[in-house]
Amino acid sequence: MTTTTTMDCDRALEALDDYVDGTLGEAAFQEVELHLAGCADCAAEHRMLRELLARAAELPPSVAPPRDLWPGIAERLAPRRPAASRWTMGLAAAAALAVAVTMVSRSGPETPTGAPSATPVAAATEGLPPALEQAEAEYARATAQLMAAIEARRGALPPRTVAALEENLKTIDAALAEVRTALRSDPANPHLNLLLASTHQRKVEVLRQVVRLTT
Amino acid sequence: MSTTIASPVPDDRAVERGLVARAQQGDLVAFEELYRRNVGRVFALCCRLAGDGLRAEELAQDVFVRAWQKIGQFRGDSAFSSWLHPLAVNTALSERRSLKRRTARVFATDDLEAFDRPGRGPGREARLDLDKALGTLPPGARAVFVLHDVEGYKHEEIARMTGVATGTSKAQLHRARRLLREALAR
Repeated sequence: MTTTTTMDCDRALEALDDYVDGTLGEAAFQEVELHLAGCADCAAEHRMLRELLARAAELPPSVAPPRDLWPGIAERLAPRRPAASRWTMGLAAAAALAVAVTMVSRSGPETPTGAPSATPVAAATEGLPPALEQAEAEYARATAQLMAAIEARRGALPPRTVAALEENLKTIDAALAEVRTALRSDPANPHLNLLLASTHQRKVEVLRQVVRLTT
Repeated sequence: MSTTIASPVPDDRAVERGLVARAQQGDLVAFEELYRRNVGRVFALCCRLAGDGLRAEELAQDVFVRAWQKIGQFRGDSAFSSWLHPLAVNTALSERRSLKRRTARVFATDDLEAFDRPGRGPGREARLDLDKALGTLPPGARAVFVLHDVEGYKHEEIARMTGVATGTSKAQLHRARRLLREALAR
């Protein structure tokens, strides 16, 4: 350190960051300049700081990760997309379950002959992959049986319940139609497959509730 | 911020705008292309802020998941990389805040092998040294050094991003620079 400047080493080192960053006022800047000119230790610190900043500026702005990170990202952006067959098999299984539950929940011995408001399945599912059509047919059977059970007891149901049921079915059938339209252009889409299954389940559940009211 | 981000050439900007528009419509293929174009920049930033190469991989993935969630908010008035950069900083910094309960990872110094690749030319050793030295810094000091001296943010911006006072940011930078000078002089 030298004694020829008014700024001591501690203050100079303290001011060094602002000095190299260009954020010192003019007077302080001149003081640091003067100190560095006369103090070898602080001048060495100053050189090392400049060198550090030069190295920082040279760091590569881009570094390739050691492995491809995309698969881990992609699986978080959308649910895993398995082969279409797995979804449609799952859908068929869900439909079969609905049929089984329907058979159990039916209280009467009558054989369903098809409910008046059942969706015309063949037309509605035209253009869907065969596996999906099959699942749809299973669901159609389940809903037809429930509709038949409801028809047989329609007289026992309050008119308000019948009206609410018809309103609900209209909404659900419209939703089913929309999902089917989307599925025709993207049959393997797992979201749509799930949506179709859950919409069918909702329909079965609504019908089942009504049947329970009458038994 | 004063960081200069390499702007794509006009044609490339048009391609990028197309990719962004498709990604905003839910097109994963387009988003993957945006990922490929930007992952190096994001990964480098995450490595330096996290001080841990493995954690940086997870962080970079978090950044792109968040980008996918927020891409609808991107208005397209800047390059996609300029929009992504603060998102990456915020993701890495929020990680740093929650890292206080996982301090074991903070001082990792030997897992930045991603930087240790051959064929970088004469400046390579110096850069490696600095990247490794960064990993030895206390997290607060490291974050401020990376943001100020590598990424070019101003103290006021760093204070906003990290939730500390401007004076604290300056003090952390002073500390980081001193520690790095000592580490590199060894």
